[in-house]
Amino acid sequence: MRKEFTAISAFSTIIAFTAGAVLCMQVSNLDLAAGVKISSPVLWAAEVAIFGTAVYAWRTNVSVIGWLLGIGVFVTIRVVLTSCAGMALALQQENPDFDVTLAQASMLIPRGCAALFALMVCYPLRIFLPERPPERRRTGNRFRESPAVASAAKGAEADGGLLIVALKDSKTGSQDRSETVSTHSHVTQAPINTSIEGEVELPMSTVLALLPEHIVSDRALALGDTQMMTISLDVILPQIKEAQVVFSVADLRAWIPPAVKKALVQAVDSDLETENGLVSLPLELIIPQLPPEAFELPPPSPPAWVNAKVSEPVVFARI
Amino acid sequence: MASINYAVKEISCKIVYYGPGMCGKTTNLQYIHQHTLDDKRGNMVSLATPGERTLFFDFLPLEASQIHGFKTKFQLYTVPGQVMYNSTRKLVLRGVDGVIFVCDSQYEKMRENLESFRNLQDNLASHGYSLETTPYVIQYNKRDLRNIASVDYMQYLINLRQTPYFEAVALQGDGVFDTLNAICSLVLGQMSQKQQAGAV
Repeated sequence: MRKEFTAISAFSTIIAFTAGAVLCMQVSNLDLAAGVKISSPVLWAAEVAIFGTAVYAWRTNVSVIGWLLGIGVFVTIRVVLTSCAGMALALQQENPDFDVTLAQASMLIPRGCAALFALMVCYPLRIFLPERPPERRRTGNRFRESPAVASAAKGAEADGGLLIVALKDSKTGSQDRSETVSTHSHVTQAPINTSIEGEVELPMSTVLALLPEHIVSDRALALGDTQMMTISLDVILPQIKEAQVVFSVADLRAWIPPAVKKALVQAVDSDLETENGLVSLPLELIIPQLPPEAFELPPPSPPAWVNAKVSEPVVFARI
Repeated sequence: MASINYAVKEISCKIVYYGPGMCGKTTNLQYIHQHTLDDKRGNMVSLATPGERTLFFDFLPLEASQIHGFKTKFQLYTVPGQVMYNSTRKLVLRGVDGVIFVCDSQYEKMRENLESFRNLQDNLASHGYSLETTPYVIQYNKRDLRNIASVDYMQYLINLRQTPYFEAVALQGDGVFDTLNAICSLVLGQMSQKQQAGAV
């Protein structure tokens, strides 16, 4: 997360702060707010509302603490900007009176100006705000809850013999599944033909539809309609034997055409969780593009029972 | 395991339809049940959810033509395809003589096919069986759908040993009896082999 706060972010923060202080001071000099009277509590409330909205808009997955922290930082920076402007204004006068200049810098227009620049200062800092823990998806099982299962499970309890296991079995099943993949993957692993060279082309619109929504801009979607993404077979072929082609968002970025890539939310502005998230590409678009050699089978090694023959064929009397 | 009753001249074998959820195992059995003569089959027993998902297993006893004067009876079972019912799948595989592995040909089901096939090997191993010794055939079902993988790719994924395979549309009955006949022949052939070797 902290790696995303680059030197450019720091530079823009400093520039925005300096420019904000100078501009507020200048605007305070103009006395533009003459005639407009808004009470201080209203101004504070408006500021907090604007800052709170900004924090949420910039980081929708922010935690409550992060949100409050964000508002606090905003307010602090706005106050510091106003104070700096007031001090700068006082220094320009022959008989400096900080209280007066501070009051001038706190009027509606310079205050609005300070708030605007506080937003600019805080924008690069938003990535430091703590996030909400990811929500767990509900894995409700409609079969387990279905009346048929309920009655069958009840029957099983009474009978003691019928094996219908609901909750316990589901755990066993998932455990067994993971064990299956890990312990027996070698048994059925297909060979990879590494001698094949080439590329697979996928419509950019399809790939964009698979990416996390928050990194795909409307402009990227518009550009994606006409563009194709090219992926080398070197990285595709080792995966097809597992009946899936999966890449991280960060990997996919490397193959996205430059124009579309620019239109996406950049990796520095995205979070690591998003970048490491896996995207499964559609097999139906990949497999038909592969040459037949990609599915070359090893020499036949049928088990002994394949050659066992019965002298008479089995026939079922059909209707 | 298969049993041979010399007194009544009867052979009894257990065939299990295995595969991922919703691949068409029960549909195979239903088609067989609907298209065999009443006196050659028993009642089909099926315990399913309201969504037509197999909850426990399906069972269909079936009688084939006489072979060498022996009445041959096949007990056809399906397993529940859903991942969470692995204990039931293990139980159904006990004493299996032959397996029909039913694959769903749709691209989005490829991963499930592969995982189910590996699960079959695991569950056979838990009973001390293996695909090396247990006859099996592969059925590529749902070939009438649009979004289906090529047989070449499915062979590459599932059938590296290149055992017999059949394309099928179980709903319409295409390939259903071909698959069943093939596995029954292989089971009886293996039984005959063992008998000659004095193992049965």
